[in-house]
Amino acid sequence: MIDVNYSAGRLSFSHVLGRGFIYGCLIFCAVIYMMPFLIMLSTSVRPLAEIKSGTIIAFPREITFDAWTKAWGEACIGTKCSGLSSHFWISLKVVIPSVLVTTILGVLNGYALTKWKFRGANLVFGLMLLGCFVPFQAILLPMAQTLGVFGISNTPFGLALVLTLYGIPFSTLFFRNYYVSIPDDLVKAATIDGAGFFSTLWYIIVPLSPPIIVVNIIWQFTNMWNDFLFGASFSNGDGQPVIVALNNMVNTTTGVKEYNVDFAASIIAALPTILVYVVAGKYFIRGLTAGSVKG
Amino acid sequence: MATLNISDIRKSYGANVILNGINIDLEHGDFLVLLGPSGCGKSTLLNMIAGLESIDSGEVSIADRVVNRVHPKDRDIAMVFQSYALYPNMTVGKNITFGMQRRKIPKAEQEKALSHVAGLLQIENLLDRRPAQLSGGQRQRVAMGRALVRDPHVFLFDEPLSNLDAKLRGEMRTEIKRLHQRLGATIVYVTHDQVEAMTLATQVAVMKAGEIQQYGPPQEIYAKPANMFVAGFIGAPAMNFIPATVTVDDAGGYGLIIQQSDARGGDICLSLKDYETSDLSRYLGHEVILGLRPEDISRYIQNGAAAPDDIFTCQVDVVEPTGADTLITISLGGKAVTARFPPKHAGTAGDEIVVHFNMIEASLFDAKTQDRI
Repeated sequence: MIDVNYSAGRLSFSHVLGRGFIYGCLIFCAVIYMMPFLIMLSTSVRPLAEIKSGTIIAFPREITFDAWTKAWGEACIGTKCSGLSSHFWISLKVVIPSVLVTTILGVLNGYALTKWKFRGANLVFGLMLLGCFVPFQAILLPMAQTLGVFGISNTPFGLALVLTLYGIPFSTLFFRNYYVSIPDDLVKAATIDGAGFFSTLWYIIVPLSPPIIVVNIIWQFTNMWNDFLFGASFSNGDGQPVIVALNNMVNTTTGVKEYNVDFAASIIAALPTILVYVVAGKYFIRGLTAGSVKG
Repeated sequence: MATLNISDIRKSYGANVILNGINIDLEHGDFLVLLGPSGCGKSTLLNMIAGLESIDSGEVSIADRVVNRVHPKDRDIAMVFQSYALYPNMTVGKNITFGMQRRKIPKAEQEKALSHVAGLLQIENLLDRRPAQLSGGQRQRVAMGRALVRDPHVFLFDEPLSNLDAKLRGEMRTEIKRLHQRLGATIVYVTHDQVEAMTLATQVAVMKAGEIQQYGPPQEIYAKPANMFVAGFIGAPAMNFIPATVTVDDAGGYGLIIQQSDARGGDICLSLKDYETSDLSRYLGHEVILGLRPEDISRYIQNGAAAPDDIFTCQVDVVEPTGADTLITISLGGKAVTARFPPKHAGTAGDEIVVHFNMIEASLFDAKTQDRI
């Protein structure tokens, strides 16, 4: 690696200037990038009166969390005024099992497709990959019919099923590509040691998988949590996930536009994905680049 | 009782024939080396013995039991892989005992076997480390420990030393030999390194294109190679192949004539009176290939006694000192021929020297079939 702080000879004026320019650019980009979020954050803690009296871009003169409590428990969505909280729980109820199931199936698929190659394994993988490219809107009607036949329309379970189905191809892709880089000799050695399909998976493969499991969880969680189309199509009323509810809340007009409440609600809806990134982000980068460089 | 018996094994992927009728018979305590260039099918054969690859036709039996349809874990074998295949997430101790743990062997017995093997391989102080914290040689030891702890009927080694540097490879080779002598185990060992084959084996099977070219003790394969492939594959520097013509001398004995293109001394005549095949009438007047190892060409130093047969004068082209020996290149029959001299006999490039061919060790090959005559 090149040590950028090291330079032979005296620190010249042009050197300092160049370094200053680089940091200036970086800070400028960081500010631009963070601006929308900072505006949302500051607006969400300002009283509505203050927002209306001035411009929308300003530091809060007075900090209040009324907007947050309103967004969480009182704001009106359609005709019902109980905030985002119940929808937030529905989202968790839909997303967490879906993430777990796609991860487990991804592990199984990736393992079977790489370490227990059967005739036509590549074709199966190719077909599964194709699933990544089926446009969402193309399956809306058939899926609605299918859910109806099974009697699970407008239920969290039905929505979770759709999200899981769409998640499996990506999970399979992730785990399959990761497991390709695990030497086959490990599985052979385990076979001779007397481990079968599942015990090899459990004792040898899974302990090597945390980086890719984290990648998969972040990817699936973010996608499923932020899903709007399926949520809007396959649920209604009280059963809507938080992202759909947020949209409806913002569109529900009761006289004045409450920017602070809308912004607080947006941040609440985005919080879990931000949290997942913060907690597991470093594994995400590591996992995405795993295997590309030795060591 | 045959420990390992392989009869007429065949395997092909589509039209691509990998193994074409392999027969091997091993007694208890034999050390068989499967030797050949990459792609000759030696690793496939090993995997078939291990049960990791299916067999198209033929039979593999271990301890007089046909194991074609027996799961690898029930074949009473242990295998050491080229990549070592240590489980990265487990400590060295866990790596070694994983097989016993899977077989539900009591904990106390596992501990006993582990400490015995660790003592044998001198890895007691490594048992709590992970494979990533070990050096190449240590990993190699652990991989062998995992096999040894099983005390199986047959050990399988798949190019176990090819990932080590030259010095370590030599040490581990000695260690494997010592282990074999001490345990008296039956071992099948795959390698493309002819030095490993020569040093370790009690039996060598030289393979090419899915067939065994020659099967026998290493010294026999070295001294009497069955064909030009085996002759060229075993030994470094390789055996010299010199085109020659079979003739009859005045006394009725067979001899060889090597045509020298430069005029010095004219054609070279060599006597074949010591050659193993006495009747060469079939080849009379035809071209054959004379195979002579570098150490069988020596420098003739006049010492007052009568000059032996098979000496002639030639010019040194290249001199390559290697320390213990010096390699000399001379030109014979239009081919560059390598000789191995003691350094004091080497001389310098351009010298005229007299060399002696040790025809007792010579091999003759049919120029067309390349088989030994």
